[in-house]
Amino acid sequence: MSTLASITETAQGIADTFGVDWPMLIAQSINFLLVAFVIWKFAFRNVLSTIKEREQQIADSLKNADRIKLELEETEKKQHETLQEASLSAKKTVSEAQNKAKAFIEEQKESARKQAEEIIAKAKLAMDLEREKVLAEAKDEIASLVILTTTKVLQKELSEDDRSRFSQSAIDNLNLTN
Amino acid sequence: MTFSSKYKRLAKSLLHLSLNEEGHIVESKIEEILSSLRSSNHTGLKSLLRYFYTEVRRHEYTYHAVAEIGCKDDPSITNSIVKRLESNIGKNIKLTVIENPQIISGCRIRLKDDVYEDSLQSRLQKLEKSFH
Repeated sequence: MSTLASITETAQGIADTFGVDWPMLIAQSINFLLVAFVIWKFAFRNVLSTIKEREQQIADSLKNADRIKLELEETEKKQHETLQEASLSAKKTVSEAQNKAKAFIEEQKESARKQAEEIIAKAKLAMDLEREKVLAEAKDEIASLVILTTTKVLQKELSEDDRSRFSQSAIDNLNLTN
Repeated sequence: MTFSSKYKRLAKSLLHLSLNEEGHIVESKIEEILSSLRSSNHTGLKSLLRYFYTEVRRHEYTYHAVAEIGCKDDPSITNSIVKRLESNIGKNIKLTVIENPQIISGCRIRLKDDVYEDSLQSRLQKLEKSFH
C-alpha cells in the first residue's frame, strides 16, 4: 500500500514539475495519426506488398530449388542407372567381340592348318609323281641303252651262220595269217 | 558295152599275155606288147595303155612280195619264203629279196598291205616297249 502511494506521489510530482498541455497533446496526437496514416497509406503498404512479393518469390525459389534438387537427384539416379546399363552393355559387347575374335582366330587357324595340309599333300603328290616320272624316265633310258647295246653286240657278234639259222627258223615259224 | 569296159577287158588280156608260165610279169613281153600297140595306131590307145598300166600295177601289188632278210641271200631261204607265201595265198608269187643288216637277223616280208615280220630288231623293239 505504501509502495502504491509512493508511485502516485511520484507521478503527481512529475505532472506538477513538467505540466500537461492538453490541447497541445491532442493536436500532436492528431498530427501523429495523420502522418501515420499517410505513411501507412503511401509508403508502408507498398513496402509490405514488396516484402510479400519478395517473400513469395523466395518461397517459390525455395520450392523450385527443392524441386530442382529432387529432379537433379532423380537425374543423377537415372544417369547412374544409365551408366550402369551402358557399362553392362559395353561389357557384354566387349565380351561378345572377344568371343567373336576368338572364334575368328580359331577359324583362321583351322583354315590355315587345312591349307597347310593341302599344300603338303599336293607337294607330296607332286614329289611322288616327279619321283615316278624320274624313275620311269630312268627305266626307259636304261631299257633303251640295254636294247641299243644288245643291238650293237648282236650286229657285231652274230656270225653269218647264226643269222642264216635264225632267219630260216623265223621264216619257218612266221605266222602268215592275219 | 562301153568303151571303158572293153578296154578293161583288153587290158586284162594283155596282162595275161605278159605273164610267163609261173604267172610272173615278163618285161620283154610287155615291151613287145607296147611296141605292137604303138605301131597299130589304135584310136583308144591312150585309154588302153592307162588300163593296161593299172592292171600291171595291180598284179605287181598283189603277187609281188618284198622280203628283207638279216643274212646273205640264200636260195634255200628264198625258196622257203616263196613256198610259205604261195601256200598261204594259193597263187604263184614273185619275190624280191633285199639284204637289210638293220634287222640283224630274221625277215620282214611285205605283200599287198600286209607286213609279216620276225626279226631280232622287232623282238628287241617289243622288249623295249615292254619295259615302258
